Amino acid sequence: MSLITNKTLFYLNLGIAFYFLLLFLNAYFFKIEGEFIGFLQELVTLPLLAIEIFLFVLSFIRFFSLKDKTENTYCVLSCIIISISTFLTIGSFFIK
Amino acid sequence: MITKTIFNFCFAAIFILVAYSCSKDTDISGVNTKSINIVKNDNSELEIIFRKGDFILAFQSSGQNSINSSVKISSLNSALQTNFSINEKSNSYKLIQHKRVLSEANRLLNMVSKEEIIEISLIFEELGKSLINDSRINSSSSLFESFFFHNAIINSIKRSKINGQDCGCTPHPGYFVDKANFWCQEDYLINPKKYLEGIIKSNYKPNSTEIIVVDFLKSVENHEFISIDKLFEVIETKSAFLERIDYVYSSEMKKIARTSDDEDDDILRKPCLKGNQWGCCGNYSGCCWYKSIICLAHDYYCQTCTPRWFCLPGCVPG
Repeated sequence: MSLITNKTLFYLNLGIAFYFLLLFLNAYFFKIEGEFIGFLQELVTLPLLAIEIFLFVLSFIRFFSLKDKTENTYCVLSCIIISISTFLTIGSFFIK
Repeated sequence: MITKTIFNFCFAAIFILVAYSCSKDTDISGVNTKSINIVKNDNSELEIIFRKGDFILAFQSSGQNSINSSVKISSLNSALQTNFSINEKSNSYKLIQHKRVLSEANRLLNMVSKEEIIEISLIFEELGKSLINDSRINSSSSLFESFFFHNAIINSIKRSKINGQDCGCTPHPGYFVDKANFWCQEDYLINPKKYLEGIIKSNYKPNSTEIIVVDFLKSVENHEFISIDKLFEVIETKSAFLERIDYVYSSEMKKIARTSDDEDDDILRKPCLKGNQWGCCGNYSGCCWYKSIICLAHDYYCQTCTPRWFCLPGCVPG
């Protein structure tokens, strides 16, 4: 049995996407400049970016290993969430 | 007959000389006619009048230890006067000149439009370039040094108008150690490629801090020019640098032994990594709580503040 179940993977992906969504909202709308928020943001963002890429690869490996693609909703949703999240976060680095 | 020939020859020669000298600085429309008049009175007075087209720029500097200077710029559409005085007798006077430059820049900020100040700065730059190579000027004299303060004032206003921010001027550290005239770092342009070549050719082996500078120069090698503040910020943020200047100045002024246990004072005295410096996680005043290679990478990437969501709110390199 795998260490990370499809359900766990789904929640991890959701958490990562939620974190980057918060960063986006804070940068463009909330603009909160707390010292602790800045501290966490600076320390956590880069590792989470690396984890996001890892989860993106893992989610698709899971997806393609499924025999019946429609049988596991968690796995499908995982792929959709992490794809959108990875595309937007990594993609934004290339927009000048 | 011979007399007439000689007279005609002399007349023709004079005519050619006059025509040549007039054509040197004058185009067909006469717009680019320029002239520089310099009047010196011993070592206590210097006056430079620069005329170009409709522009008249008059720089006056007088005094010996206490130097008062002004620049009056007038054209058909605009007029501006900057004033600056400097007292070389006062203790550590160099450490506060950037604040006085900013004060004058802020005073004049609303008196000129963006277009006017851009035009004025170009004229001022042209005059500066001409004067540096002018044998009549002693560029290291105190009287002429004032010229650089006016340059900084004008450029600070220009930057403020262009960027839509408050006037800012971080002094060039070379000024404090008599290696440079007064410059705002933001206006001092360097060619990163040439800088890098200089370091490589000298066979100098940079230490761990200096390697970051070399890496930074490599990352901006393709830029023709960068302002030197970007280079200095790799080592120390502007706010930390200005804080250090203020601390040294206040120490000099008070001339007291530091015996206080006040924590804030200790923070300034201890050679700690500051909360707003590269490598420290977060951005705050005082010593750094926690530093990490991850935060150093984050700060390094955030030099250009893009993408905005990735960098800290307000985007400072710290």
